[in-house]
Amino acid sequence: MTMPARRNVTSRRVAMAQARQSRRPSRLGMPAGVARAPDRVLDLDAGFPELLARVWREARTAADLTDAVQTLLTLGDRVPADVQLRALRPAEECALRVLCGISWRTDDPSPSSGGPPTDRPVFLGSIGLTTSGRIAVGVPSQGPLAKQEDLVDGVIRVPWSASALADYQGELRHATQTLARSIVDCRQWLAAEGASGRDDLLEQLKEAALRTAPFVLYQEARRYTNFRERNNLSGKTLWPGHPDCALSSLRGVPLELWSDSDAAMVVCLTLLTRSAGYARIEEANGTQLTVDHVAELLERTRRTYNAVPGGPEVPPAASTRIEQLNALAGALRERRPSVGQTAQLYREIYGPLMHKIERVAAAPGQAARKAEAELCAVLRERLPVAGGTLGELGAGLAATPDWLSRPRGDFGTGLEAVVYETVTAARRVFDADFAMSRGLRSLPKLVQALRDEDWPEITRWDLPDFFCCVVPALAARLFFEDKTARLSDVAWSISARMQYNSWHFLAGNLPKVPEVIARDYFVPPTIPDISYYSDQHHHGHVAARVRFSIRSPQAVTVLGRAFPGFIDLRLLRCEGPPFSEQDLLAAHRTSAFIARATSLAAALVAAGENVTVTSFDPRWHWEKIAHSGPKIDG
Amino acid sequence: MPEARNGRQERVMTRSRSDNWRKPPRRIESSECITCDMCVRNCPEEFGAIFDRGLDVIIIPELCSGCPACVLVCPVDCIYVDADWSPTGNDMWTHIELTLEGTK
Repeated sequence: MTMPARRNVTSRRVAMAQARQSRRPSRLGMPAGVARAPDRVLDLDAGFPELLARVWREARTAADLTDAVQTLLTLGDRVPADVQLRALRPAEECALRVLCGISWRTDDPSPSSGGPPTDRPVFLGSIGLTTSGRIAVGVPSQGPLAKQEDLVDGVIRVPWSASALADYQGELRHATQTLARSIVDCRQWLAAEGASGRDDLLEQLKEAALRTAPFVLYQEARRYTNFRERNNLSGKTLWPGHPDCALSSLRGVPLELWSDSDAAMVVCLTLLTRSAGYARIEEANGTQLTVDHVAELLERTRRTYNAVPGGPEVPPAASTRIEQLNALAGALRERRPSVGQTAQLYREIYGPLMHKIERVAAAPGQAARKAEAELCAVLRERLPVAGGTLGELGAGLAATPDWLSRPRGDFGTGLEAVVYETVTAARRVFDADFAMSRGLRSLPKLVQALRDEDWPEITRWDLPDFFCCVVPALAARLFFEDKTARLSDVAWSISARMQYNSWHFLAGNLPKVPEVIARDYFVPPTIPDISYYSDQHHHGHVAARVRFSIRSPQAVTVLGRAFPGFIDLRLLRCEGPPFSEQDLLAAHRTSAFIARATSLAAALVAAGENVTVTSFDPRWHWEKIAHSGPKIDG
Repeated sequence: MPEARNGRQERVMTRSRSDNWRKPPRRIESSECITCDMCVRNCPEEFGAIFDRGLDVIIIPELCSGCPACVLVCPVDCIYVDADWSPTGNDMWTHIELTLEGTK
């Protein structure tokens, strides 16, 4: 008979031995950290640098200037040209208007001197592509482009005719005056806020930079970013209060000492966040952060919201003065919830520039209904549910939820079976290379912490307290050296990253006690998104070939408290066509089904049942993927 | 643990690794890292050797004793022994110096 003290020692030893094991599926059974070298190393240029080099080569061999510019603006048909047009500095914008007749502005006709000059060029300009993906235009009196910008590889020379030069001069005069007026207006508005009001704005914007996804914004050639390269805004690299943070460094500094670009940056970021919260900043990603750009974004949003029936009509701003735009931003924020109740809001994400566009989805059509019907048919076969729609399946769950806490098939609980079967069905129905859903392992721990209002306890939970069930298509191994072991490792690395996302979002739902404020967290997402060409920046995205995806976050209710972004469903394609809006609508109803099951499970826990997710660890992914052969295709 | 913190302070100020450390430092393979920051959160305070930098999470070899704390929590086992480490650049040291007591 083993004495209790000895048993404790033994179990501690077992736990320590387990902790020393590698969690990479293909290295299970080996100690962690002993592999002599990585299994594979990505080329340093993989992802975005490689894309830019390819786009630049295409532009250099284009038939003419217009084709070359179009290639650069769209990064080879991967982003809307409109986004890159907004990234142009005012002088560059004027140059492209006169040289190519293109502009993002819709309110005035673009003069174009059109085509190559017929007479002897009076100025030899240039265009290039910067290493951050922005098109750069060499204009008169600014010196060689290569000395001002980090270029991918040289320039394309652009001859200017005398008439182009004259048109440019007129355009530039107008643009310079407009910009100068807007800076004066920004300064007046900031002055009216007073010193303490400005400090409050800076604090709010630091919090915005810290609690949302990274962004890259321009003021002329100056870059404000908490992303790649040298950061100058709070984020993962620069902690709050870091002296290199452009926002921190303005605190307490007299307005007269602020640069024009700093003044415009603070005002524009304020307008954006006031119109919808922090996430709106990402809708300016990759563009010049100027007042007229923000004015256009707000106006475009106003028209989008007003097109949704119901709710009060938001009037346009009377002018592009900051005071008027501030009022419009506030009105949009008030209108947004009613838009979301009537229609499905979502975001498109253009991965190369991380640029987001808020959209209102059309009503679900035949494609969405067909996908939902197929999903329901699979779920009826695999789970004790009935009904023709996910809503009906969810209602059935709500009527008899008890089985969610009981073992089912290979799983310790019915909730795990719901997660796995729904993810597996979604992967097939949406023809994804990977599908996944994440969540919290121990609902009993959460219920207890909520009852105790022990917010610090929740902030202490770490990645192993969360799960993500990742199901790949067997055929997806072809993207990974045709090896299921490698596919298993990729699936687990995705799973681990999703656990991090759950960890990152959960604290964002808690009251802002000191322990929560001190914790690294993001504001949880509330609307779904569709991503295009996301395999560019994040090393994990490059390695796992996350090209096209749908992310569908959902709130879960626990003890009457809603936790936005508590779970999600994600679909991923490594190649092939992107997902559609109809896919997104059906996927969002699918994630709502998982969220409903999770809320019901939490209610069971509140009533005394135990629902703890023990599946979906590295071994589960290894056995399911590397050992199961075709079974993983369902 | 003021003594240990002083040790880190000295290493930061002299930009050099402790002679008493027998193990080589570790490094993170960015191709495999998922930037979950588990290693950052679990690097012992007396070392404070791991930082986020842009898209990467990096170990400063001069501050890393080679202890296994980060390895034991890494969910994807992407941390390797770095016997052939290179000295950290000045830019990064300027950033690191701000983490000394009282500045962060």
